[in-house]
Amino acid sequence: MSFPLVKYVLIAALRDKLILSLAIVLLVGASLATFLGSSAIIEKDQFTVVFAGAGLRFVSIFALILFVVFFVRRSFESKDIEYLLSRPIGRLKIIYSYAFAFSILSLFIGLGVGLVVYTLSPHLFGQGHIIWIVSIIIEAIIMVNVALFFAMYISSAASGCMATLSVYVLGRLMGQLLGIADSSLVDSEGIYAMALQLVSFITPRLDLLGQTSWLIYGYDGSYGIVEAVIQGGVFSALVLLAASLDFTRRQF
Amino acid sequence: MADKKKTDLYIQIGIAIVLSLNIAFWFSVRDIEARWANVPPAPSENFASIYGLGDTNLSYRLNGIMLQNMGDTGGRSTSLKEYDYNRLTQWFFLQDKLDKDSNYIPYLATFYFGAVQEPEKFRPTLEYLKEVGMRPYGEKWRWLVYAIQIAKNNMDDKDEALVIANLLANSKHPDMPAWAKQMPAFVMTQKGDKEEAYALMLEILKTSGDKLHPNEINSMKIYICTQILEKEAAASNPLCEGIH
Repeated sequence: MSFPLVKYVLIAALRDKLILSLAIVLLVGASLATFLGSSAIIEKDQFTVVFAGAGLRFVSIFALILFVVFFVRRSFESKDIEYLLSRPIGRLKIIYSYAFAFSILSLFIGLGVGLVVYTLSPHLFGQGHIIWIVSIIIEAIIMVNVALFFAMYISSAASGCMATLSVYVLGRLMGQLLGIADSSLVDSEGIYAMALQLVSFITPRLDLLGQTSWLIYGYDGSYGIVEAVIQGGVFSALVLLAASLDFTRRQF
Repeated sequence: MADKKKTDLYIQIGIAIVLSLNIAFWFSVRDIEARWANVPPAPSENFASIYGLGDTNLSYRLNGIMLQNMGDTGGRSTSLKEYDYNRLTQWFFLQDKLDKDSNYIPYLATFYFGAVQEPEKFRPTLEYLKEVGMRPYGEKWRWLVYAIQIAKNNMDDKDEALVIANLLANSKHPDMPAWAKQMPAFVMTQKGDKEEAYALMLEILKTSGDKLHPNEINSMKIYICTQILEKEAAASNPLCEGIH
């Protein structure tokens, strides 16, 4: 790990106005959630918290993915990477410093989203809020690692973003897709169901993280959050190792 | 130079033609407005969760807002009697699977959709209220009370009201007040089954009298003596001593 490199990435996030734009988005999103929530005939606070929690979480993940992919691609295109490689920093150190810096950004952004959600309805605050905030930070960390992997492999920033977002959507829907595959609606041993099972082997179960119902009713323990965190950790290790493999073999 | 002017003229003519076509098209579609095709069929639980990208409560809230505003968007307002209540009830059951704790959908079903001008259309929704009202937590029993009121007063179906009242009386809600247990007696009185109503009230007094507040016991006695019993019967009943 190279701490000057971590600092460099964090400064780049500030320079790219990631934090400032996210702060504005959080403010606008919170206002929109309040407006939508107030249109409900009862349970207005619950509606506001759910809309804010879910909406801001999706927006922050989207912003992080865009930042990571564009930052890494720009590092290649502006020869920053080649400059770094000319310094006494190992290739693996670059990858893990980037991953660590992006994880710090995920931590701050997750805490920011949690703070906004808390501010909207402080009377609903409880253990469920804390677990929800921790789980969306974990989700963000998983996704920045995936974004780093695709940014390393795919030379087009737009394609890298789309690939990462596809993994995100697939991860968030995997629980439902497996439910449909196991239901009587489809042949659970058919080719599509089997293909889905195969894809699910290497898809993080993001649907088990950050359920907005925890913000209202508290964490009921029914979700396999521990399993999801372990799987997310293993998945992050997999994509980081895959990115390392590509980076160490690459000729400059 | 002359070529450039010519190209410029052609472009201007092209813009004029396309703009005229746009305006002509506007006239042809001006009167076509978005139409509401009534309540759509409810999807499965797994499919509905996809609306919220795997977040079931987000799906519940999004569907909730959709149900609340359904039929009243795009400058249109739809009479409740035009809604397909069978499909609406399917949506209520779907929502119930997404969030069993919230009172938003039962509230919407009772106080909004319950006001339908043709009360008979509400019958499928009574089944939904029965299911929600039987849950032994979160004061859910009150949805049974509202279902009784709708069946008795709006639908004028006292038999159905009695069925629901019996469900309420036999339910296992820990904090349900005693008057809710007396609901079958109230319905029977209105139905004219006064003997059964009297027997039920007496039974409640015998079995639960020691757990009730004295004011509640007095209210029950007053109800028995003034609503259930005829004047002569009340005068000779020892329970009604001191009650006029």
